[in-house]
Amino acid sequence: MFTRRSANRRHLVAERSSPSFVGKRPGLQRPTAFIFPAAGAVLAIVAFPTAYAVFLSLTDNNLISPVQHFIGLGQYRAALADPIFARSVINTFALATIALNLELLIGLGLAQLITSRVRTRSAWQALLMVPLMVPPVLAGYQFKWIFNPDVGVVNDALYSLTGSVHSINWLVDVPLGWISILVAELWIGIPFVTIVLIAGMLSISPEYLQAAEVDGANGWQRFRYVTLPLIGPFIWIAMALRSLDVGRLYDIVRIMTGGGPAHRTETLWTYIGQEATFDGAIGYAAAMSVMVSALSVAFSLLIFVNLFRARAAKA
Amino acid sequence: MTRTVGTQWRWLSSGIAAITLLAACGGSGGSSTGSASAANCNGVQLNAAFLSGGPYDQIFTNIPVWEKQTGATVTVAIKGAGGDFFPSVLQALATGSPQLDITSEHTSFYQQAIAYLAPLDSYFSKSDLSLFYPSMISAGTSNGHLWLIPRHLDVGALYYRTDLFNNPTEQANFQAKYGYPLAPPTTFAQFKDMAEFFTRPGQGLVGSSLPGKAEEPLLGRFNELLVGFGGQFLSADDKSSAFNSTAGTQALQYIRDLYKAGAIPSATANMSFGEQDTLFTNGKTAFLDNFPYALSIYQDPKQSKVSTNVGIADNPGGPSGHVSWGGAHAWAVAKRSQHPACAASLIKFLTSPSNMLSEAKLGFLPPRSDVAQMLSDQTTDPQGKARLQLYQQIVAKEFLAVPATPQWVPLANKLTPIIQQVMLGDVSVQDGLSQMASQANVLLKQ
Repeated sequence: MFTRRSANRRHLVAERSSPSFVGKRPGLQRPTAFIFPAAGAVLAIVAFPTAYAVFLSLTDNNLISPVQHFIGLGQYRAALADPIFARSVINTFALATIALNLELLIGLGLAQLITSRVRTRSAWQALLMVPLMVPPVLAGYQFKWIFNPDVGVVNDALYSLTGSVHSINWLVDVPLGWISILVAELWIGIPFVTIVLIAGMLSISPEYLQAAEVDGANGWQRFRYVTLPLIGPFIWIAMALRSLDVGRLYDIVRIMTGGGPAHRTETLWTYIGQEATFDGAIGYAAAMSVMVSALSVAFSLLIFVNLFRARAAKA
Repeated sequence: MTRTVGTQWRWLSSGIAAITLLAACGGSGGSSTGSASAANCNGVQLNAAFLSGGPYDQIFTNIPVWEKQTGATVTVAIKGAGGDFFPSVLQALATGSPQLDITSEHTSFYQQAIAYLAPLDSYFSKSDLSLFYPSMISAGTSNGHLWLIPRHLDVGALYYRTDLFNNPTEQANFQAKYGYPLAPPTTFAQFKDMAEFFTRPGQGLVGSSLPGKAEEPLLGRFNELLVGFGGQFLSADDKSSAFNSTAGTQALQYIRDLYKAGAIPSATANMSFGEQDTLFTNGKTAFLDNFPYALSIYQDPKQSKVSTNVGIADNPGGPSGHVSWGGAHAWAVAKRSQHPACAASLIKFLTSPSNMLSEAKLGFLPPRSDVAQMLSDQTTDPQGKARLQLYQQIVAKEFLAVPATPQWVPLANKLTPIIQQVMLGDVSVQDGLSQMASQANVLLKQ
């Protein structure tokens, strides 16, 4: 039987047996050679900088001094003993946990709502794209202005509604600083999650939902036992991408609070950025980056394992 | 002493003609040393890092004149504004990427990059430097070498709303409440009284403001208060902190009290220079300590609702007298430069009276007494003359440079969050001061 796969295989065999397509070095064949440009790019963009960062993390490199010394794991020990680094790890994970859960819950609700609005669905989807088109730096400035205690619209609205002139320190007080950052993060994150979930919901064959309805399932049961399992892979994709986004959160926090005041809203990358860029403590910042990168890789692996499980369950 | 600045300076046509003539001649205004002036720069390309925006961009008009004179070319490798510029320059100087020859620097920040700068002693004679304010030359001198040539003054002064301070009702109310006349504050105690007096939440008015966001300004202001109260930031050998003292306690307590009284905005701990300028130009602040750049913003009717009501006065003083923190924006030559004599020649050109005057016309305060005199002679505005006199007095008698350590910027980044904690009431003044001293000593030992 002729299939596309068998045709491709015959074509490859023909290519390999042709003298012009056989590599000059034994074992180096054309398909392998094709990988070199991409592998080279990955090496240049990822592997070399990572290796260099690991090297720097083992030195006392500081921009103030032109000489550096190998100090082994000294920077790692310093980072593990640094209470601000520990706080920024906790802050980042707490923010990611809250933000991702809220984005998923609100995104699911919005996606369900929008997919049921057949006539206005496209308009809603277009509207959801707007926050995604705004660079995070500008979003940071936007929300910094919105939450400004003296000239911001939130306090102005509260003054108008309550008649009180008490200034609420949105970007200074605990936990208001975090709430302000969370709102900004949700403003960017929810539309993305919603769009991915809408795509997932639209991929579900209507027959499944109709069959469940015939079997007497109510709206919640159809969502819980049909829709939710079938969009599982989409949920994990959305969460994987968003967790990486929140994990590397920098611009919005840098603009809105700078990680402060008094490290109150410090996240991993605002702290690492501060150490590297403004203090010039490159070795120390590199050590923290290596540890954070290792954590990120572990977290990503966890998410992708779950993604593959969800895909297997769907299949 | 108070000065009011209310109108644009008017320039005599003869003065402008003189500037043009001097610029065309590339006059140095002083006797020149051999090496920088005689450098053969024909065909040389200099890579530069330049601060940009507003009056800073005047150099892009001036530099082509030098290029024509020498046959050299200047390529701008880094151009920026704001707080990110100096860290970018430090990275470039340290890594050599891009390789720089000449850079904009600042007396407050250059010590962090001193290992990558070339000493300028051999390019500028005593005669070349004789007309610069000595305090500014001193701020750019370290370890017995000259590293910077000042470009324009960046020293604090008090900016205040004349419509509030000259209002008879306000004056009467203040006199009745505090027992002395309302006038721009001359002491720390008066500053606090007036900041509290003008704080009126119902009217959207706050007495004063402080850029309390992370990085340098808050520590700079703390240092200013510390010295005003009679303290010192570093020990005599610059190897350890000396601010954990009675004066340090008073300085930190002063900041805490201002915040606690609501006399500075509740958002102070997250406030940048730009944000405090916005408050002032929107008529929401009565007075503040700020740097010379602010005047052109405060007096610009397009940006400021109080443009015709801006006064300048000397900063208030403490028991040890008046202190004005700051320094000067300046020029430096990179150690890696292959053409340091040409870079020095360009600096000599850029700091010539003609070029300084062209920048001063746009708002910069010249760091040379001869240029300040030319400026004063050419303006018919008495308030403009008074501003120049005020700054001459400040740089001569009250100027406070940042402590002489390469760790000043890292110190600012480590200590500012602790000052913020004290200000917000998270830790006590004494605990905060102890933490600051402990952190500072760790950094100073590095």
